[in-house]
Amino acid sequence: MSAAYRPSQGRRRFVQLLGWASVLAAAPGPTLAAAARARSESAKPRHKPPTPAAAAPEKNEISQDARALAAVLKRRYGEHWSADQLRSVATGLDDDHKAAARLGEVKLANSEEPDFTFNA
Amino acid sequence: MPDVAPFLPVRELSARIRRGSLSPVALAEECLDRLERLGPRTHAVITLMRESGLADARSAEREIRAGRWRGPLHGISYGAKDLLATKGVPTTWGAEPYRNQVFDYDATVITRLREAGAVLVAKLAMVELAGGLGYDHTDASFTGPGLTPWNPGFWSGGSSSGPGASVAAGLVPFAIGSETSGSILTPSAFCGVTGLRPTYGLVSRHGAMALSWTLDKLGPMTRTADDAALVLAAIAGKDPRDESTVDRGFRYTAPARLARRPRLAVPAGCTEKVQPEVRESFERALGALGSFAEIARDVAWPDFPWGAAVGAIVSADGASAFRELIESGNVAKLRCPADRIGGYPAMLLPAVDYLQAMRLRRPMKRALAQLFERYDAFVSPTRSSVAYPADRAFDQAYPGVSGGPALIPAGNLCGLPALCMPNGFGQNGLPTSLALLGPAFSERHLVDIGSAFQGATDWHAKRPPEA
Repeated sequence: MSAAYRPSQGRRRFVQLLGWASVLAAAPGPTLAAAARARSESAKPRHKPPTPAAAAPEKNEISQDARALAAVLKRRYGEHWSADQLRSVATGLDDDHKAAARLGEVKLANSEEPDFTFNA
Repeated sequence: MPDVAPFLPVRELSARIRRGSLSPVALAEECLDRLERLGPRTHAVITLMRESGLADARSAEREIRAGRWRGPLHGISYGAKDLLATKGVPTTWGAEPYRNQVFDYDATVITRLREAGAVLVAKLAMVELAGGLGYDHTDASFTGPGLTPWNPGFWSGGSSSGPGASVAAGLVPFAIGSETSGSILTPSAFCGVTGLRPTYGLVSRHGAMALSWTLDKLGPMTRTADDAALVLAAIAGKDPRDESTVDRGFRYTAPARLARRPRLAVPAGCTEKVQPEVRESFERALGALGSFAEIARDVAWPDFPWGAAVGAIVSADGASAFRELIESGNVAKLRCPADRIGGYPAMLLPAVDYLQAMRLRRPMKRALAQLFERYDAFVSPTRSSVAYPADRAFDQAYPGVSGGPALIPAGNLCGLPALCMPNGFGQNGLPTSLALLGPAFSERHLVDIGSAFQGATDWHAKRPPEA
């Protein structure tokens, strides 16, 4: 994977623009249940894609969803993460959400299958 | 300049070996000496295979003398990116947690090259785990940052950093690299060598580290397009141990004269924000290409979220492939700080996002297939800049410089072949490069176009200083 085409390529630059306090304040706060709630809300059937405002971001801010999910990851894996690492994880999640939004902008017909095949 | 054998094209080395004016053992000894002596300058080598390499070279020499010549790679030394399994020899994936990993089998590519008589002399450095966990700095391998032989203050590119640097510095005549999204083309560009990314399914991935099952590809990094085709002919073909391989090989003996003027398309915007020297090299290269090809400029490039799609797939596949490493916390042993945490966000990547990316690949392929009805290949700068400074994070390398249409992620998402070749020099004495992107299984045509270009230019014959 070359550097320019890896996932979350804007992570570092984005991280540098952030106000860390908001991430650090939020990270220990949300419980797993809260994070799960955030996920389940975004997973509910809906008639239109979630508006970025609900899940994310004023410019240069990490979304609430990303902060909540970062807290889940910290609880599961990140007992010894530094504050910088936690920020990077949250920013990575935010980048993934933005990428997912771009993917979702392309409308696909129901008949359009994933490009892999299964053989019995 | 002295006649350093590993700088010669494979075709020329092969001719010398066949007529007895070059010994495979002497070639292997020269490569081993250069790998040992010069390899550390660019952090290009992980494991030197002196004993087995010399034994294989002696065997090749005996066979050739006895009249049993296997083909153009017989007796030719080479290096392999250290993600290819080699029986009984460490295969480190460039990563500290796998530093002592040893497989009891050979990757299919290694087996096929042995059958062709090629001589493996070194396992070459790479970005840890082929860069799948989000590295953001050159220092992302347990062997240290890969450096380009053209200027050791600059990166070799990744993730096939050792193959790029080793071929460029004349440590081996050719090397095998791998590409998930850019890992053959980028180090080839930054090191000034020729790189061929084959069509997905043409070369078996059996025995290669998996980063992304539908994106990973293995291919040659060489001095010329002709050499790349010689190597591809030896490694391509159906392999029952890799279900993705297709039942069509790649036959090649020599470049063919182009039957007609190829139609080459230049994507709109592909030089808008590149470095000025990259643009100048590209324009000059278009002049050379235009002597034997029709060039269509400003061709509209399909509007898809190419980068987001390849990112989602690599994130999910990479997190799955390295799940145990991530969940165990051993990922913290990786060299690059970004790699130590880069796999965690992907653990929560929604399956629907992954599937959306996988579903998008079909309309993406259809869109490019339509364009290939009108054009034989796209041509663009391989990278928007020369190699990045070795001491800076990537996003600090060249602020304001960026590529145009996303040909690298697009080509990889659609499984298409690409050939890149040096086409000049930019700032700090660093090479620039151009890339051809063709339809599936068009390697032969790309190589013929590349050979015509390299017949009209001599950028591929340049040597780095002090190499």
